[in-house]
Amino acid sequence: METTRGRRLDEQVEQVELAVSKLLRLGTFLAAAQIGAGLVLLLVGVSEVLGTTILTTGLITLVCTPLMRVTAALWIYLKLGDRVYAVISFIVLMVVFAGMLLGQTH
Amino acid sequence: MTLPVATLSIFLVSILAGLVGSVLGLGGGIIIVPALTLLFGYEIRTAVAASAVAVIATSTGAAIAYLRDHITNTRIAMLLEVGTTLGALSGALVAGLLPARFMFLLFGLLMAYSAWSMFQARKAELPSGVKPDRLSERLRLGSSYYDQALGRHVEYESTGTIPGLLLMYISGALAGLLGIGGGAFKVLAMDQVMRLPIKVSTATSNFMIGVTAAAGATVYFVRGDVEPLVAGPVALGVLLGAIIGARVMVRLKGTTLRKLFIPVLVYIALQMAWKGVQG
Repeated sequence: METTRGRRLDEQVEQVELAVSKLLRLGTFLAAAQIGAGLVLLLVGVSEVLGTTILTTGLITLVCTPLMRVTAALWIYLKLGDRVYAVISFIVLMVVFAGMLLGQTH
Repeated sequence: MTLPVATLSIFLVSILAGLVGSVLGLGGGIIIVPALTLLFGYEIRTAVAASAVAVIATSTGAAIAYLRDHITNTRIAMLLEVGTTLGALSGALVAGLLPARFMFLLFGLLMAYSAWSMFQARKAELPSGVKPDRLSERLRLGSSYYDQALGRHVEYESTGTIPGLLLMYISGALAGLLGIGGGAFKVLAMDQVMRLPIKVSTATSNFMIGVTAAAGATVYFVRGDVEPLVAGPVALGVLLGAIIGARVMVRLKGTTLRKLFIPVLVYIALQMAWKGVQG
């Protein structure tokens, strides 16, 4: 009984981890595609404004990926009913946001 | 240098930074910043901002592979991130209390000593006889992964949770204060204090550095320090390098990883000592 439950929980964790990994890959691919497209536009000299905008959007997408990871982890822990780790992830997320607002580098 | 040539050169150097960073669990700043300032003649502000983007690219590129291979210990990463992010947040406050020169010398010595301990442990593939502390047991920090180099499942425990958390706080503050050594310090803390397998230490450090750097990178964006034509090729190159590096790392032996790590530690120690002596 106990092992069946344990295995089901493991499978659940693995499924969500897989989903996070897929989400992360999608985000990274999107960021890389935008950066690449922006660079090409800038180097070919089609439009500086458009190139810079697309490239910067890609860089911002990339900068968001670590936060995506923490948010996804928070969601997993909530779904699994793991309150301790849900609180830990939430604290991390809040401290990072505080850092952004206070304007500390690093 | 014409623009396309410069972009391509930055891209190629960044592949190397991503490779080194993802294999050893460092941000790659030790390659990006000197390359951009010394080789390409960019201002330090531009280089540091591009380096923050590089740290995130290394972290994300490596995380994709390490998460799939279950080498990253996400629970340890999440717990220790409380320390690193708080350290980064309060780093500027601590900065006023101690002179930078003293800090550089202190951490230079600490890194040199760590390089020596790692040299002594160069033949240890996996840590042995690790007894988890109470907090580690309560938070279920121990885990397992499949080691491709050893061809078997490795079960491991984690210890020294509170000292580990304190060191992570220092590492977060350190990255902000000294600008170097944050990633290396994380790997050392997990390896020597928490006694994790070296592969778990580097992969988990990789996962963490991006989260700590995210706040910093945002600030550089707002300040306008992020040059698209520099940060763009850096991001692409580092991502590619990190994805390749993560594939290489899972096949390496722990002892090989240690041998690669030692010269990097010596280099960081010398760099810190030099800055301390220079004042």
